[in-house]
Amino acid sequence: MLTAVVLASLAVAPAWVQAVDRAYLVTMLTRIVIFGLAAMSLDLVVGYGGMVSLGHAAFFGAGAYTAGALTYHSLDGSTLLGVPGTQQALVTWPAAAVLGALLGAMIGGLCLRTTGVYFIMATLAFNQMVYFLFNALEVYGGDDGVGLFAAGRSIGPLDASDDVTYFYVCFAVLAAFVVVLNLMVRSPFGRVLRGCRDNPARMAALGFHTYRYRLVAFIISASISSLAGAMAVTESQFLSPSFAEWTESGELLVMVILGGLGSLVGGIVGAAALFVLEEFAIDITDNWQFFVGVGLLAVVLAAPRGLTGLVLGRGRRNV
Amino acid sequence: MSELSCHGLRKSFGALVVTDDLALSVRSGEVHALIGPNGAGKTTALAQLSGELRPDSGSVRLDGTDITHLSLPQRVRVGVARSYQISSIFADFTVAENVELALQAVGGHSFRFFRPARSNAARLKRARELLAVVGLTDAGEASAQRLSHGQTRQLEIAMALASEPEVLLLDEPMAGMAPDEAHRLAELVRSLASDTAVLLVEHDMDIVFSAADRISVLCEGSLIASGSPDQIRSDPEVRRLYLREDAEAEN
Ligand SMILES: Nc1ncnc2c1ncn2[C@@H]1O[C@H](COP(=O)(O)OP(=O)(O)O)[C@@H](O)[C@H]1O
Ligand SMILES: [Mg+2]
Repeated sequence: MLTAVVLASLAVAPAWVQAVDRAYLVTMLTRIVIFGLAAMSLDLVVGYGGMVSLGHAAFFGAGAYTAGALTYHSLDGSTLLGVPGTQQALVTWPAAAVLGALLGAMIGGLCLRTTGVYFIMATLAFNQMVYFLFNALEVYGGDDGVGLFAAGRSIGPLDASDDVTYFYVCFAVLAAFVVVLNLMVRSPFGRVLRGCRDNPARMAALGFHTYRYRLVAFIISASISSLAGAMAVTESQFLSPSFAEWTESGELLVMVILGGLGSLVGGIVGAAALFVLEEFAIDITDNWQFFVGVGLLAVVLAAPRGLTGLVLGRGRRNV
Repeated sequence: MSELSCHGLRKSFGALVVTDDLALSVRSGEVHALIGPNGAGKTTALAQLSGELRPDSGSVRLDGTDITHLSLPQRVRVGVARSYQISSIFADFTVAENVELALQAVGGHSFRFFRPARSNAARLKRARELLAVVGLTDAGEASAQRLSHGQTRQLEIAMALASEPEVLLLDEPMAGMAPDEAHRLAELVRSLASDTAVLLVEHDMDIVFSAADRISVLCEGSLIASGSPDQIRSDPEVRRLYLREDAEAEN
């Protein structure tokens, strides 16, 4: 229900910002959608799987670099490992999702051998490695990054160069994953995942190989985050290592916690809260992040289930 | 007919020897009670039989096959299940969901992503049957955290039964129960033993002597006696141990 309201509000938001003469806000709305998708996928891991990943920017960045690199080589006319580049999102986005899954299998496969604080640190360590790898890629401008402004935004036969069109493309992807992920957390797989979060020792005593279920959830999440990264670089048309910066991982976590852990839609709400706050508080002070801190404290202390928890009420829990 | 046994089991935590050359067996059709003072190493012994803890040396066998190297989930699959001294359930799930989860663990893999977990009617039916077996017929839709202590213990057993175990390892299942509840549970344990091997760790001597076919007494990691309830009752060393405990309790 809340999910439907959030999606419906997003769907009409572009028309609304245009009506109040703030058309420039459409790109912010698109970013809410993209980061909301990444935050939602992180919620699958953190909120439902109990695995606190501080390394999801590695996947977001990997997606950005997959799509960005393919676009770069297409503009350049050169090849990437013998493969010609392309700007077609129907190729670059799935490629990013696949690469994100592979990277997720690698990083998750190793990190999930640890738990608790060690897991957090291990994901962070991998995030740093990926970040410095991108920094070292001189082809794509090293730490400066590289502009891809000459690229269009082709999604199949659709030209989404226009910001509003692109918003709706991203929105459609988000809506599809809202449905998929909501099915997933209610499925037998989702139940096992929640069991692994609540009582892993007992899960093993029941006969579950908990590692496998956690790893599959981690891979799915990494893949979706990577897709979101690809969507982000197609939006900004600028590729740089900042997509993979570990502070980005922290920001995604803030979105999930602010919006409400274990609710899925909370990731979108958290992303919206953060971007809207940035947009308006930055007029008051450059240190707008201060307000994020205050908001986060309020949530942690007074509303542990986040903004969505406030709306849904005390007793209810999404799944 | 199945039999779980261990031979020469040893386990120490640092300098503390908690399991010392332990040999035990339990066969289907019998309730074998494992008793002993607090800290004797009963839970630790159970953990090695169930696969949660690796013994430092010694072996665990199921029907003659060495299963020492099998992990906890793997042992569940070959028919060894356990319950916990401290209830370990899923408080955020409903009572029926707890049992359904236990059924999922042994009913093929759970990599099913799109159908609602609740839509499996056969599994739900089986969960309700198991709840009825342990006496929780009407509690299925309640949240597990609403259960009383005694009901939680019952749920714990229903979950252990979900894998249709050959061998059931119960760690103080009656702990903290009211006497009438405890006796009802003892009857249930008795009835389960008709086709299952039950190893029962229990403190209440009334229950142990009425429910067990065989009793083994553990003290500081090693067995000091093993035999029928009558033999144990009249064993001088056991009497000394328990008389000492009673005296300590009175002081
Ligand atoms: N993980 C552990 N590390 C260190 N000591 C332990 C551990 N588990 C149990 N012990 C010790 O081993 C002894 C036996 O414990 P336990 O098997 O729980 O006894 P019981 O179940 O018979 O009361 C106790 O002295 C306990 O403190
Ligand atoms: Mg114990």
